[in-house]
Amino acid sequence: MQAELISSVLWIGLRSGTPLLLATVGEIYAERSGILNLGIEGMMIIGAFTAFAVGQATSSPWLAMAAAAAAGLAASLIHAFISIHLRGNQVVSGLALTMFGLGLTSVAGGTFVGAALPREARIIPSPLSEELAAIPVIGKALFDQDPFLYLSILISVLLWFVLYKTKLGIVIRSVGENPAAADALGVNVYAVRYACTALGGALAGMAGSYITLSLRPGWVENITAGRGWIAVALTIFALWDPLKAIAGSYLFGIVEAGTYNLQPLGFSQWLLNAIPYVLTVVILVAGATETMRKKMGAPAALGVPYVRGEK
Amino acid sequence: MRLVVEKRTVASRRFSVAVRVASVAAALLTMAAVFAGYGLDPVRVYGGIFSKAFGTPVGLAETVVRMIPLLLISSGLALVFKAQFWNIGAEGQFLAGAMAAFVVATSLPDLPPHLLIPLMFAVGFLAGAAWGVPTAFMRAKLNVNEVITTLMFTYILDWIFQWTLSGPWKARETVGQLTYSGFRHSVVITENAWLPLIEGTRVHWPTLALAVAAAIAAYLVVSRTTFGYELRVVGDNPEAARAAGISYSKVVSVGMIISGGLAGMAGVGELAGIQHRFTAEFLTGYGYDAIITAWLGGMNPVGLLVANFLLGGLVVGGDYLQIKFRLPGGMIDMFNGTILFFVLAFEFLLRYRIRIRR
Amino acid sequence: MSSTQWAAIALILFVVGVGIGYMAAPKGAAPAQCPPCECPPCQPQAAPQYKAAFIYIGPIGDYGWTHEHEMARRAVQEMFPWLNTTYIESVPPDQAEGKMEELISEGYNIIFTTSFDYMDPTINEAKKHSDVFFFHCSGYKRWKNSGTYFADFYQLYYLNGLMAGALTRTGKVGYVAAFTIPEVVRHINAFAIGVHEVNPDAVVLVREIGAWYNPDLAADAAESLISEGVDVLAFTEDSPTVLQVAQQHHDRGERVLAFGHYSPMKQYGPDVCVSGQIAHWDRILEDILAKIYSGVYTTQNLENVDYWWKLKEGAVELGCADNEPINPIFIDELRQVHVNETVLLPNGTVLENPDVYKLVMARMIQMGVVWHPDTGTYTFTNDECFDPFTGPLYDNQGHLMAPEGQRLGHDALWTMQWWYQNVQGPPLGGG
Repeated sequence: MQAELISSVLWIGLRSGTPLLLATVGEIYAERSGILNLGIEGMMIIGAFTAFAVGQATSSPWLAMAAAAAAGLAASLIHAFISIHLRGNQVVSGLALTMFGLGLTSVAGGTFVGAALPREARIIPSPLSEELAAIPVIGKALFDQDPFLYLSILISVLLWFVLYKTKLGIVIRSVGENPAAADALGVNVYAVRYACTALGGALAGMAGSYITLSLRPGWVENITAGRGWIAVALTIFALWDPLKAIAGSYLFGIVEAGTYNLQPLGFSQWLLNAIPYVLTVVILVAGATETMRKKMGAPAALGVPYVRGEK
Repeated sequence: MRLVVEKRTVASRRFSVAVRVASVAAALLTMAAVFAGYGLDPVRVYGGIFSKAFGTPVGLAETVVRMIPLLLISSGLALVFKAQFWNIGAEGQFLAGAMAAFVVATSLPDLPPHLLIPLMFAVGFLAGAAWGVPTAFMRAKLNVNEVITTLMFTYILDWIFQWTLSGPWKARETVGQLTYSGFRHSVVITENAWLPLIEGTRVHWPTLALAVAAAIAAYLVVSRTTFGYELRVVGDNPEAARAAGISYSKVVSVGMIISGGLAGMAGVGELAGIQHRFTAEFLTGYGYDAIITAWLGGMNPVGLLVANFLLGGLVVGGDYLQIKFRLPGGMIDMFNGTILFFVLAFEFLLRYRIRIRR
Repeated sequence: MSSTQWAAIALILFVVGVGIGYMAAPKGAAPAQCPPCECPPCQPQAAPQYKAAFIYIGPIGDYGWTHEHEMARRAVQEMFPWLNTTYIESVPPDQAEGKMEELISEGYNIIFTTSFDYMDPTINEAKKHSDVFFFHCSGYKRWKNSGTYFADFYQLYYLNGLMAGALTRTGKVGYVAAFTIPEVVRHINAFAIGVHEVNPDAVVLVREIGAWYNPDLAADAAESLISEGVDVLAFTEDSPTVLQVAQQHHDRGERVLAFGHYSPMKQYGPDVCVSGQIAHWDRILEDILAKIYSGVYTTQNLENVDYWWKLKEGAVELGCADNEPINPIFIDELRQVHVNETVLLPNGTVLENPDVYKLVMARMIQMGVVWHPDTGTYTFTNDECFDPFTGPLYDNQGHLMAPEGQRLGHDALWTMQWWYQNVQGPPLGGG
């Protein structure tokens, strides 16, 4: 019984961790290039809504996901333009993007409320193989998931590889650390920043699509429920490293899923509900202590607009 | 012929007011296109919003009711924003102030109003500040991003608050013969703690007076004191601040005490002036809306007054969109987001000059 | 110019602007004008006499509580040509009084407030505006021009419980509860009484999520119940999440069944939704508005007007889809399970050892509603000779809460803070 319980908490934890993971990895890229985008929540919900609408119309989850990525990307370009070309305040622009996304989807989503998503459009977990999924405790969590979840891990690993093991990765990181130096070496700082912000938007859109296509198939207002903010926190916790983001996102998902199993032990659900947020603060403090110890922090030029020849 | 962008050294005040007005106008025009897309006449919609929010006694009073907490909170936020410290958690500091005032009002119900009410505001200030300061500390000592911590602190306190309503503060209420228990609300605070209202409205004027005073005081602190100078240096040029020996942690901590404290006082006003008891839906997002107005109004009492009055009016007038035009409530969020985008975009003109060169 | 001068000019412009706005605003009562959309065609010669406004706590997009109130508003708008209606959504309680003021100043003279947290604001406004009708949903405070109304589900939860007891294979039935306020405790206990009647060994596990509308918490709670072996779920919460979770398990080949709540939610779980509860607020609104129109209700006599409507008035309906009390794919299974008891119908028919399908239909008849499967319609007999809350009732500590044959009355139900014997739930009370 106990093993079954843990197995199911792990299984759900990985599922709820998936949108966090995609959004976090996207934000890592944006921040690595020097753009702080606090509008993840807004881009995510735009993606979630787009995926639902397209999924309903086409019954194709992959098309829906692609559309969500495109929508998230489009939304991120507003932020990119304000941050990069207009050199506006990135904190406020991100907040504006979140507000705008929540408002837009509430307005556009009115007629979709109560509509069901066709079964073919949903992403449903199924075992890779019965034997593997039957492994006690971890089998279900690791081998009985949906393709999207595996894809998100693959994307994260791939993006980690790009960031740390390729020339492109060096370029991106140098733009976030010292754009003037990168510029002097012939790197197009604006292009890199636009590309990274756009990638962040696309991944946030995909993260949203996982919510409406798999996690909570259907459309209700505010369906992202603050996940975008948690992704911002996880970015810092992961020390801007996509591999650590995998661990952080799943840890977060598992803790969230596990709180209810403490209710029968007499804990107040309200205080249990606060645990994920307490954990976020703890994670941030731990992450910060870690960055201090290793003497590595946020990208040096994070949030600072770049203008050639200007300091 | 090509466009050249040059840095502007100083933008004249006239120009900056013009840019602000133009950016809001551009946002209104964009939203007008949205209304037109809904098949509505934008002139009628805007006419309706404005005459509703500012043109009727009821609307005007309600606009002021919304403005009170917004002005109080945004005065403090504008101050910390000057130091580039992004306190997004005013909502939680607001709640902390209200909760502390509730404790005061329920433990000293017999204190006369002229003692009880000032005490509640003072304790509310302290509580709001206390809930904010750890985030400033974490930022200063550990370089932990305050955007996230202030927001997380809000969520945490909200769940603690919800717990109190299901546990220690859950109150029975007797109506007629029957006692109702198990409902999620607190006792009604003693009438000694109720703020006086302007006759016939819900405007609790003591909080209004406090809010106006706070806006002016915050402005004076920033523009006339050494601390204000340090605050500005930290915001404009952190390296110079360090070189000049200005303590970052002192600046953001004191800034946070003011900002959190004012938000806490706004919470006291909301409890003592409007709601008089806690229900599960006590929080209504003033702490978030004040971020917009603090940004729009800047560290300037007139600017803050205008921005908060307008936003309060937008909320009141926004009801008109629902009542008369059956537009969804989410429209207001879109509105706010759009205004911010345009203000940010137009800020560019304040800092840069665009020239056409042949 | 100096900054002070600029500030002064800004202030003057601002005051002038407000002044112009004030002058330009229409004075007095708003002139009758054609509503711009979705209302019946405007007839200038028969201008609406009554304008009703609804204040909603959540977004219409919740597909739960607020959504159903909005459906009812649309229904009465269709029904009465003399009525003009509007609404404001997502209104926090602190702003409710302001919104009511605004609506009244717009000429609205019937105000419906649809959340418990609007109780004090509604009474405050009622005292201020003695010529306006107020109706508050789900509260307990009234005034001479302010009544209360509520469509109660507990009979339906009991019927759902009968089915849940028959369908569970693990002997564990789950319940996701928003809050353990008396209304929800009443629902859970009624559900548990139904479960117990069919399956005395089964237990009802309750998870409280602490929010009316939070799909994430609801999903986590449902999953946590399933991981403890629950295979049938019911809920009181404002979203279809629990049903979606059950359907997701079904899609993976696991047997988890669920009941709908509030709206017709079958589309969210076509393979798992056994039955559920649907609200018909329009029945109550129709009655209120007709009585206002005909002068039965005045702004002087609402002090004791408290609608507490259930099955026999048609304010609530069994099922997770309109006119379908039980999902047909479960009827055969329900017919396999027999209950060792005798049921006496109002027409004298005696049922011995009925199967659960028959038992549900019989109990429904005893509570005033007859279902005609051949025509797919209901008839209402307005005759209530059975109530689930009839003694002997024991709480889960073993205390006798109602002796044999005693029926719990309105007051006991509206203040209920104890768990029925087979319930395992969070501690109650406090305050």
